[in-house]
This record gives sequence, C-alpha cells and structure tokens, in this order.
Amino acid sequence: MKTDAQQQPVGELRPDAIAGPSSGSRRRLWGIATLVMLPILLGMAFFYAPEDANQGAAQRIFYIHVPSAWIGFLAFFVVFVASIAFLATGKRTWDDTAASAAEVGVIFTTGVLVTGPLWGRPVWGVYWTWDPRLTSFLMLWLIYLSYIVLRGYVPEPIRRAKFSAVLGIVGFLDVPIVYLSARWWRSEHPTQFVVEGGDLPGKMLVTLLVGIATFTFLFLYLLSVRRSVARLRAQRELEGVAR
Amino acid sequence: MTNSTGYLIVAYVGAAVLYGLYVLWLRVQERKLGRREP
Repeated sequence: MKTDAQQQPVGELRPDAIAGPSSGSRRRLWGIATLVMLPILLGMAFFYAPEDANQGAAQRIFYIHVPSAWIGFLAFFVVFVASIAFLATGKRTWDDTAASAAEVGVIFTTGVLVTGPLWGRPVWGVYWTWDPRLTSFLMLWLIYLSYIVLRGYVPEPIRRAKFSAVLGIVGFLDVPIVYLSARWWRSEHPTQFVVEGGDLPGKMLVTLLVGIATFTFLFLYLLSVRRSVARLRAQRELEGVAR
Repeated sequence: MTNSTGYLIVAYVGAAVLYGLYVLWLRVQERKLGRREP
C-alpha cells in the first residue's frame, strides 16, 4: 500500500519542516556547552590524564580520535533512523535531518581519518595500513561521501530524498561491520576501551568520557545549524518555484 | 618509538581547523540564505 508521500506528484515533498523556525535557545545551549567543555577536555587530555608508558604523548590523540568516531557512528545512526522515517512518512523534515546528519557525520569521520594516522605513525611506524578496522572505516566514510555527492547530482527533490534515504539505510550496515571488524578479523587496531571489561585506567576513562560529552554537544550544535541551513535552502527552492 | 609530541600537536590543531572551518562555513551559508533578496 502506498503512503501519502508516494501518492504525491513527483517533485513534491510534504513541507512541514519549512513551517517552524529552528530552536535558537536550544542551539545556543549546545554552542555554549561545547565552548565550556572544550577547554576542560583540553586541560584533562594534556594535564590530567597520565602519559601512556608504551605509546607516549601520541596516546593523548585518543581523547579526540575515539569521540570523533563514536559521534560519527551516532550521526550515521541518525541518518538511518531519519531515512526510514522519511520513507514511511514522506515528510521533508526527515530528509533534511538525514542530509544534515550525513554531512556532520562525514566531518566527524574525516576527523577520525586525520587524527588516526597521526597516532599510527609514531606508534605503528606507518600512517596507514590496510587493517580490517581501518579499511572498513574508510569504506564507511566513502559511503557517506557518496551520499552527499548523490544529493548534489539529483536535482528533483523527491527522487533525491528517496535515493538518498535508501543509501542512508543500506550504508548504515557498515557501522556494525566497522565495530566488529577487529573481532572478526585479525586487527592491529586497539579496541574494547570501555565496554566488555576494558582495562583503561580511571583518569584516562574519565577524560575519554568528557571527550565524548564534548563532542556530543558539538554534534548537536552542528546538526542544529546544518538543519537551519537545510530549511533556508528549502524556503529558497519554494520561492524560486513560486516566481 | 619516535618522539610523538609533534604528531599530538598536529592532530589537535588539525581537528580544531577541521571543525572550526566547518562551523564557519555553515554560519556563512546560513547568513547568505537568511538574507532576503530585495
């Protein structure tokens, strides 16, 4: 049975998201929380957390590398949920949310791909190796990069939304593969810091959790601004059609 | 193991540049789109 959205003529999305203004106060709250947490994270990463005996100073990259990865996964989970919601309801707000979360997720995963090799060089002796964890993560980044490229190449809004929703759902299948890759195949990549009886010392664990909280606030702020940009673009599209 | 302080600094500065430039780019986009044509 077809949904309301599927029965609409091509080129028409349910424009519910265009009606409401973005929540400025919540966005300000995420921005302020990020600005407050960032210096705390830096202080803890450089002065509070002890230096790792084996890895030396490079281990401190961990406090931005791991939160970037986790928030990247969170962003792609938002894409996954919003894509399903879009296909079920046809509401534009879900397409805007998925597109925004995908872009923000690509930024965070780019952060992982920048910081990871800078840890790998002093610890492993190489910037990059085709390790299962690294390779599956690079594939994840490429999938969501292609999601953004796809959106740029399909001008018709409803086709663009449907195609990208399918890619947003299928692409998320790589997230558990990335997570489990170190267990399924022989991987050099460190794993199991917190869950499953990870043996991270207390001060390192606290610093990591502060890092995750900081990056969560940053994610919420970026998602909020990006959604606002998506809403404004939708308004301009409608104004262009009306003229 | 090599002295890794340089890598540590480059990683933090690189991340700051990446996230900082993205925030800036979003805010510029938002301002441009928010400005109504006469």
